[in-house]
Formats: sequence, structure tokens, C-alpha cells
Amino acid sequence: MSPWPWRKAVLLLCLVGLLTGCWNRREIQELAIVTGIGVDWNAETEQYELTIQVARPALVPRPGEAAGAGGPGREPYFFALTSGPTFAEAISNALESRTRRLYLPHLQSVVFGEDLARKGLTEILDWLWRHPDVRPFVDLLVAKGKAREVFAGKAPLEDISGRAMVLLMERAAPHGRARSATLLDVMYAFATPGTAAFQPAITLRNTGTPSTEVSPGFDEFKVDGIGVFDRDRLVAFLNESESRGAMWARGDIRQTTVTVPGRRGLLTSFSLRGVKRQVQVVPQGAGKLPLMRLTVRADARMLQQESPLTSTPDEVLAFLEGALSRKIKAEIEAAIAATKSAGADVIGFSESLRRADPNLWHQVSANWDERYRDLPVEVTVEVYIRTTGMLR
Amino acid sequence: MADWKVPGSPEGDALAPGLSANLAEIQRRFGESDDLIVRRLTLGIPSHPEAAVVYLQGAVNEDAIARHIIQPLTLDAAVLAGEAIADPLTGADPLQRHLVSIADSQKATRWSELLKFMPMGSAVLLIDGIAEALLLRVRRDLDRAISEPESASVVRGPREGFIEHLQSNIALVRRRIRTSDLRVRSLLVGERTQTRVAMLYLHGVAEEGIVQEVHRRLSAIKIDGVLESGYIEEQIQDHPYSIFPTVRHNERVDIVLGNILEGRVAILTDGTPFALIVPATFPSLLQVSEDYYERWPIGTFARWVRYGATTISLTLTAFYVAIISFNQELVPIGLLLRLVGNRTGLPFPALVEALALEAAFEVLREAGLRLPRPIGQAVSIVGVLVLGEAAVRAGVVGPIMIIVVAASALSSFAIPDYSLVNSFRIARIGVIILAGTFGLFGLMWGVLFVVTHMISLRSFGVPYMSPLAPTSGRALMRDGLGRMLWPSVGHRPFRVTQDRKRQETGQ
Repeated sequence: MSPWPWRKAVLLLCLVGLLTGCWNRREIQELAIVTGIGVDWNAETEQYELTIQVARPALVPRPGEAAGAGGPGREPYFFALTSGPTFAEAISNALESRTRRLYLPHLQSVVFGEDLARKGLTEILDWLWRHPDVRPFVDLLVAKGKAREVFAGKAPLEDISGRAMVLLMERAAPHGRARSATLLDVMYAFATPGTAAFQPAITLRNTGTPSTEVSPGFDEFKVDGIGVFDRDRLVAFLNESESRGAMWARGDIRQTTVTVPGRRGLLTSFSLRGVKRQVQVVPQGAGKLPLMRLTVRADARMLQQESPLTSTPDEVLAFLEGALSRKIKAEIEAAIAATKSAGADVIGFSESLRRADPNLWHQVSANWDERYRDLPVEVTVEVYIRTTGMLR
Repeated sequence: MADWKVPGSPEGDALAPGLSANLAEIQRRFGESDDLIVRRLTLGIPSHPEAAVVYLQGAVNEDAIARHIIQPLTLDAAVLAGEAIADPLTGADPLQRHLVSIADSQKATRWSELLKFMPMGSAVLLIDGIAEALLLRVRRDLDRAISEPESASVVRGPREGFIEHLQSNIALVRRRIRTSDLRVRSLLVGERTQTRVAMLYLHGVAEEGIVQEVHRRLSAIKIDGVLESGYIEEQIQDHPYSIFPTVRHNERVDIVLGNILEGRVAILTDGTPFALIVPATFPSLLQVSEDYYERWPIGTFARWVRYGATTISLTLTAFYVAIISFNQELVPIGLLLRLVGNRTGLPFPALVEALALEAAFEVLREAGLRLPRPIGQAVSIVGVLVLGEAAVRAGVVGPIMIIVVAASALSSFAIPDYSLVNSFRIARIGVIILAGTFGLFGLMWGVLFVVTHMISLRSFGVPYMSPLAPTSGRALMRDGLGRMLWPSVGHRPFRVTQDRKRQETGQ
């Protein structure tokens, strides 16, 4: 054995120091952690206006302290406001005027103002997609109004509002209110001809009840349907019911609550789970668009009913199943009608068509937005009440 | 004494026939040592030959000399003379046969033998007119009570530990493994200390090649003196330049017994309670006897804890430094904000902070190790108060860094083998520096370097990481990462033994 067996290893270690590359030691306390960015377009000045939310970690409440205990002005974040003729310039203005470098990997959510979204997002999405620090899983949202105003909102239980929006989407999505859209989702939709992107719409709602002196009522975030995009431009907002219809049709619902009137008009609520969707493409002859036969299946569990019955007879269950199916079908059809009028195929029929009949798809893909308006869709909803909840 | 190694004697060192010539020569050879005692006497046989008993006072039991050598030669001989002892004497043989009541005695005709055995506790009987001497072993044994070892305590299991006295240690093993297959081979090591070293193994179980190799390496040792088995460990290990121990040492009797039963070779050294065990593999260093004394699920769980603690002690501080200085994007946002909040305003880079705390911990540990116990407590109080409390209050060290360094130090104490703890101490510093210089990339680099190095090691031909690498799933499950029920342990460790089957695994 060589008398100095680590010689090679030590030599290699020394050589590593000579390598070039992205050697980037940066102490954690020297970072300004960006948790959210709001982007607006000011048509008068023709400038992008950025609202950059930067965390102030020292003010993040410790375990046991009440959130927001610091009072006004002691929020665990501050906003850096910048503007510029392009998004890149606006953000670099912000990067250059801070004592600490803005740290983007923990960027949680990007909110686009409505005006900006209607103008088009290509430039910004391109910047986000190219920047090595921005994750593809950052949540994108579209504000009803100005993004800067949305950032004034709060979530009562969360410290950092940029993070709160992400959590809101995570919780709201499986319940059918909307579905979160990450940068990756949106870019994927852009890269797929025919498929339209959508982003959850966010707005503020005043809690309205000044309950205690600590929280004298404030503007709370609220998910309000989805914004539907044609390529990179916002074309329409779907309201909550339409939004849920689209989610049914996409099979994106994990659990949601549906209320229908029972036989005597008494309201009965169900929890729906196990949602599965299927699209069957039925050809309608040469040159004609095929019929899309959309089938949605779901399992229901009774949550409450207003009739005094302790057990529910089979024929009542059958009636309720029918009522549920009709209600869901109505929601889906409303969603389809809304997306058709916007000319944005959020539900993804184009993808079903491409798989079923690639040749036909090639013929119609060029102006799918227009053809989609005429696409015949037949909706079938099958709901099975699996349990009435009387398990005790 | 028959199997002791007798060094080749130089030419012309035969004893002279004359008593006074021999005594003069002994005086010359031992210089002016005051503890060289020459007891002249006249043998109690009719021709009354002059004789002398010569010994080193500190090495022998003088009581035994008086009762079993001097008394028979002078008094009892008068009674027995004429009947059994030919007169005049022509050799020392009749005295040895009929008079001296010492169990271990042998004739010697050479000075080299005298010089070799006298310091080991033999008295020499020289007779006028006869050119041979009797070497009578009357060694004084400095024994002490067998007590629980300080270096390793146990909740459940025997509390015997080896002591400094080799014969007692061999007896401790003999008493517990009562078969003729237990073999003891001893050698003398050390030019000047002439320390007796014994190899203990089970014949027919231990791999014959390993036994031969141990003997060869022990015989090849060239050293001035052996004061502890560490001297031997360093000269028989496979990889002298590695920081990892490839020879296991232990003070506990039951651990040595268990390893002998597994087919390993134990090396006991006179003068130290620490036995060496070879071959040593990394998994065996993470095993303790209680794994076998407790029920198997507990034993298995304890092993997992130890493997986890080993990993933590090597990587935790380095991982923290890496994510603090380089890879912040990997920290979940909630934790990141807490970390930044805790570190805001700290003046030093994380690497400097980590190294400073590690250094403080090492100093604290080194200081506490050798101090008398009451002062040792004072040291830990100073360490805890000054380092832990004041440093955080003063805002020079982050509280999470303290937690991390403490956790990795704590984990290192869960490693049962003391040499292995020290190996990981050194490796840890290296990995921290790598992590603080190159981030997680450096951490991976360091861990890979340590792991590949460990895999490359061998101990007496046995791969160091076996049965982890080369992998034997069955061996790992039976008695490696886990320990199964005894009937299914049933086999001795991978690649160590020639007789793998330990017992019938009928049920």
C-alpha cells in the first residue's frame, strides 16, 4: 500500500477549488426571501407595476405567539414596489435597490392584475420560466381587480399572505371551488394546442364582523371561480358554480358538498367523492365534429337531511340520486356553455379528440377555439349514494 | 512454559560449573540491581554441596521460595538423602524430581535462558560443580478483584470485566467456554517488556487461515515495549493509515466470549484489561452484547437506532451548514423563515460557527475525560453555561446551531465502540468543512468518500462492511441490521468462520 493513500483524494480536493461554476455560498441571513409578486399593468404610464412581498423572518411569530401580535406595521413582511417598461426591468429595479439580494426560490405565488391578464402574460411567464431561481411549481393567480390591492388582504391564520394564497388553493382545490394552476400547468397548457389555460381568480372579501379588538375586521382572501385564458390572454371569469362545473368535467374534484331538494322540497346535503370522468368520442361522419360523450361518476354520502326519517327508503335514495345527477349535470353544462362562449377549451375536449382521431384533430386544430363553440357535448352524470351516514 | 518463544541464544553462553563463577557472572549481567537476591545455602545431602538461589525480589513470591525451594533443599533433603538422591550429585535432575515442590520448573544450561526467565519471576537454583541451573517459576502475581468495567456498562448481562492480569483473564474465558476446542496460544512481544500475549480461539470454528495470519502478524511485531493492547492493535491492523479501526477492542468478558463463539480470535495482552478481537467488521462494531440478551425486537430496534445515530453524528452538522450557506431552496418555507429569524444579526458564517462549536465540544470532552470526577462536573457546568447559554445570549452563536451540534454529539455517544466514535469525530470535521465549502455537493462528496473508504477496508481478509457490502440479505436479516430469534440466528457471521452453522435450526 502506498504510504500516503489519500494523496490522490487530497489532490482532487485541491483541484476542485480551481473549477469554475456556480459556486454560490450565501448565508441564509443575508437573503431577502420573496414570498409573493403582484404584477399590474398601468395603461397610462405604460409600465409594469410590481408589488414584491418580502418576508421579515424576525417578525414571524414564534410558536405560542398570536399571529399578527405585532400589530399594524409589524407584519412579518413588507412590500417592495417597483415599476418598469418591461417585467424584467421592473424586477431588476427591485433587485438592485435592496441591501440584500431578493431570493426567489421560495416565491409562493404570482398574482396578475385583471388588466394585465387581459393584455397578455407571455412576457412575464417567459421571464418566470427562464429564471433559474423560480420554481415551476409557483402558483399563478389572477386578481379580480388590481394585484396590488389583493396583496393588501390577509388570511387570519397565516403569517405571510403570499403563502396563504398557496394554502388557500391547496385546500380549496379538492373541494371543487377552483383548482390551483402552477407555472408548469400553465406552460403545459400553452404548449398543448387546443387546451386553454386557466388560473384561479382571487379577490378580497371583508370579513365584516369586527368581532374583537384584535381583529377589527379585515379583507380576507377569497377564491372566486377561475379565470379562463385564450393563449396568454384572460378572456373570461367563470363564477363559482361554473367553475365547479368545469372541475367536475375535468375530474379534478376530490370531495365537495352538493345540496339538492328532496321529494318534499326539503334540502338534503351530500358529500361527493370518488369523482371519475370519461370522455367518449363518437364520430358523426366525415368533416363533422364528433359527439363528445362526457360521463361523470361520483359516490355520495349523506351529510344531513331535513326530513324526520331515521332511515331512508330505497325509492327516496333513487330520487335523491337523480336529483344529484341533475344538479351536477346542470353545473357541467353551464360550465361548458361558458367556456364555449369564451372560446377556451378549459375542460380538455381537444385532448380527447386528438387521441381518438388524430387526423381530424389536425384539420381542426388551427381554429379549434372557433370550432369548440360548435362542439356537440352530451353530458351524463351517475351518482351513487353509498351510505346515508347512519353508521352508529 | 513449553510453548513460550525462546529466542536464539548467542554462542558461548553456557553456564560454568563453578558456583562462584556463575554468581559473579549473574551479578555482572544484572549490574548493581539492589533487588537481585542471592541466597547461599548448603544442600542437606551427605556431600553437602554448596548451592545458591538467585532471584529478583520484585518479580517473585519470596514466601514460595522459602517454603518450596529452600526448605526442601536444606531440611527435607536430609531425610530423603541416600534413598532417592544419588550422591555425589552429577546434575540438577534429582533435585528437580525429588525435592523442589514447584509446579513449573525446568533445567537451563544457558545464560540467555536465565536472563530471559528471571525477570519474569523465576528463581534460579545454582549448584556448585554442576553446569546447569534449575529455573523455578515463583512469579508474584499482582491480582485485583474482577469488577464491572468502567469503559462499558450494561443494564442486563454479566458485569465481569477483564483485569490487568493475563492468567486471570484466560481463566475467565476458560471458565465460561468449557471445551477442549478452546485453544490458547501465547507469545512474548516486546524486546524489553517481554509481554505475554495470548490468542484465544475455537478450534474447528475459527477460520484456520485467520488464526495463522493472526499468529504470523503477532510474531512479526518488532517493538520495544507493550504497555497496552493498543501497541499490538496498531501493528497487526490491516490499514494503518485509515481512521477506522479494523481491530476491535473491548474490556467486557461476555463480548469476548460471544466473539470467540462466532469464530473470531481474541488477543489478550498481559497488563491491560482490553482484549483485541479480530477480524472486526463495521456492523460488528455497532453491536453490543445486550442485543442478544434482550428480546429480539428490542435488539433489532436498538441496532437501527445505532445505525441512525451513526449517520446523524457524521452528517447532521454538515447538512445544517450546507442548507444554511448554500441550499436554502431545499428548506420548506416555514422552517426557512424560522431559521432566518434565528440567524438574523449573527456575525459569523455558518461554517465558522459550526467549527467553533465543534472545537469547543471537543475541548470540553477532552477536558472532562481525564479530570477527577468532581472537577469534571465543574467543566460540564462551565461548558453548558458559557457555551450554550451565554454564547446565544451574546448573539455570537445561533441557538439552532447549538441544537444541531449537540444532537450530533449526542448521537456519537450512541456508537458503542469508542474507537469508532473517534473515527467519526474526525470524519465529521472533514465532512463539515466540505459541506461549508461546497454545500450539499460537498456533503455528498464527503459521505461518499467515507463510505467508499470503509467499503475498501478489510480486517484479516474479511471485508469491513460485510454483510452490508458485499451484501448478504440473509446475514443482514438474521444478525446484521437486525437480530432474529435465536433458532434463526443459527449461523455465524458472514466470511468470518469455517463452520457457519451454529446450531441445529430444526424448529
